[in-house]
Amino acid sequence: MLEANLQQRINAQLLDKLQLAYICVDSSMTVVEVSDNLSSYGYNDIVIGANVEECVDFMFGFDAQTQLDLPMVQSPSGITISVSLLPSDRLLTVLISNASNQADQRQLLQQKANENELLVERQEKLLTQLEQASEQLESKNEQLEEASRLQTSFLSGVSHEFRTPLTSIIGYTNLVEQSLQCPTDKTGSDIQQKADHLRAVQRSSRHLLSLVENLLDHGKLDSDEIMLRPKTTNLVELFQDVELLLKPLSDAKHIELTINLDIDDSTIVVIDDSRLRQCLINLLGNAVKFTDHGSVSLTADLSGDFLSIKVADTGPGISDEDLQKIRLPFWQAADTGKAGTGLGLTITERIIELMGGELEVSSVLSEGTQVSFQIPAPMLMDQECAKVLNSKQSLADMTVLLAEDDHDIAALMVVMMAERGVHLTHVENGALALEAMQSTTFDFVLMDIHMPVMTGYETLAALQQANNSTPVVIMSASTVEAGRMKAESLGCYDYLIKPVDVDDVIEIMNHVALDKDADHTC
Amino acid sequence: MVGDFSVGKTSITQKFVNNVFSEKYLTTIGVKIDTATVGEDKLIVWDVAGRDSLSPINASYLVGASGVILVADGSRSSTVGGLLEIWQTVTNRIGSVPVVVALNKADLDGWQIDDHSRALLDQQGWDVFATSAKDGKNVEAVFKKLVEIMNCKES
Amino acid sequence: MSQADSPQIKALKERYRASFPEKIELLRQQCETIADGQICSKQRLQVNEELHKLAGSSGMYGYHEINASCREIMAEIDVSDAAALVPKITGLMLLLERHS
Repeated sequence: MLEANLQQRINAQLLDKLQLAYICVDSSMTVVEVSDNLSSYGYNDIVIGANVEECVDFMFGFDAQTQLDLPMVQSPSGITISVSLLPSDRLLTVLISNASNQADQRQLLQQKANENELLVERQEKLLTQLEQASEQLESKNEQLEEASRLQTSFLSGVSHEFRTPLTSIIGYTNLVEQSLQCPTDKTGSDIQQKADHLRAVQRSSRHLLSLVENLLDHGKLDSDEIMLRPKTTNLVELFQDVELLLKPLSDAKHIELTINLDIDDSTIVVIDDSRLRQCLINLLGNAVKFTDHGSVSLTADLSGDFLSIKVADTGPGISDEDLQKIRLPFWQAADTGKAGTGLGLTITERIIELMGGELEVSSVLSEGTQVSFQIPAPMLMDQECAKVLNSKQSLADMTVLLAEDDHDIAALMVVMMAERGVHLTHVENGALALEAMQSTTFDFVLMDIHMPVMTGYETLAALQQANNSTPVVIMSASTVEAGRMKAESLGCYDYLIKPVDVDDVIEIMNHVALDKDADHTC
Repeated sequence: MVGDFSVGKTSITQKFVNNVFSEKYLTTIGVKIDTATVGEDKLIVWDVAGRDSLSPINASYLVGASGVILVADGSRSSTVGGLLEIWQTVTNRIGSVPVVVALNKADLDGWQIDDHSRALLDQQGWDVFATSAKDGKNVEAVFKKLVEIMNCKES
Repeated sequence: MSQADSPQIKALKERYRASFPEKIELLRQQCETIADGQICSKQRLQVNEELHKLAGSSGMYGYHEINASCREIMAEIDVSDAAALVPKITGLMLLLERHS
């Protein structure tokens, strides 16, 4: 008996010391016995006979056979406890002990360790980002260096190319000035010489312009803004012009320059002469530039409505590898020592494409290079040629209407056209133009787009509606292709970009006169 | 609620149970138990200490669970891969129970599900939610979905 | 065309050049209207109109620099704010001043 009491007292003291609490439940999870100190852990509602799952949160989901150790559970009081489930035959004893010391220590350790690991992770992430940024920077640097290098070589190429025609201009104008200062000799040959010098200056200026156009065109290449302006052109004169322009260059290098034409002197074709000139100057210029010994030749023939051109040189040739690259803008072979913009061939190819042809390049190293292309060049027949020359007479007979709201422009055009024998009737807007066209039959109308009351487009539409076939030439300030297309869809005869060259207008009027005559002969 | 350390298990639980959120990181020791309701169902939520370098998940805490929410941090892809191992621990101890995935911290800039993680999760056929304990996004949804699956299983 | 201008054309060109102060004043007024912060589309249209007219006539009379400057501003008229446009229009005014 004493032993049992002692045992009980020891047990009670032990329990107390260890702050152990307990709950005993039967097989149906009903509470049969509890220790007194459960409330110190916040378990207040545990009564004998209650279902333990309902009053102790962690007991839900267990049965009377569950044997389990649950270290460090937060009790409702906030004290961290350790729970042990000890099943026996009839009862399940749930032992609860205070684990707050362990928990606190553990908390410190775990918190530090976790924070450290998070820091390390963040660090690694940052390092990776830094590496990526560094790589990107390096790549950008390389790109910038390359761009800078291209720009430098481009600029030096540009200035080199400009120097040639500029030297020529300065030289020849000096000669003219000198000869003017000694006016003693006024023979025909002296005047002829001055005229020759001036023509040389003109040619060099045109060459310069060609170079400038190359530069400007390069910007337009991708945006499809280059527009062709076909004109009646004497081919032989054009080739001769180009030959005279490049002769000084080939002479200076002691290489032969020959132009072989299988074309009649009087042949007139309809082609954009300034673009063709640009291409020829580019191709011949390149050939002369890169050939140090031997010759450069241009062969041209006209058959059917096609113009075939071949430029051949006895230069160093181009390797197969470089042949792929030469058409790229700005690309220049590194080791030739020749300066240039690197744009010429790119632009030439584009222009030829626009004209309806294809540029072909073939080359053999140490032997030379050949560049050729074929473009449509419809001929004007002989009788029509004569008509072109004679039609200037008929211009004076044409009644021409000018619809332009800007008085400054109108005034200038009226005077300039009058000087060319054409009398203009001027109105300020589309509505007045329509009115005028109802009371007078005009042979030709020049019309601005941007006008008050009624725009050029609206006027064109009204004329189209009324089946009026008077040729209307639009003068537009816009270079956007869509504008031209719109005007053409509304039936305009032609489309000029402002500032308008009065000679272009005359040219078109000649066409109109020709068409008229053709109609009459038909 | 199981997952790697510092993925937001406690934050999601506290957002759901008490509608509170704190930016402060205080690592959970052992397990914290809360109760909440979804519709007519009462949930006992065991917010288990995250797996870390010091210790794996104590599988004892999993005993008796009727469902599991796997939580990962969407801004730390290693925690998404970690879900597979954790799920292994779960199934080894208590078999295949209803499960939902919470890809937490969806409010952060660096949160993402990369292709690798997406493939991993799709392979398992788990329901995945982009959650944010901070702004509450999908927190309720995640618990609701789990309850739905658990009820289905029972019926 | 390298032929010399006839007396009539000379007179027209002189008259045009004499109109520059007036054009400068118009541009100055345009600057003033758009300088107070936000530019509405109506104002943009107005400025564009003036520039369009100037571009047309200046090109015709051989003032290619002025023509180019007008076109440059017109290209940006829809997207730039007053802070970007006013300096450019001022630049154009200076150009006109230089040629007048």
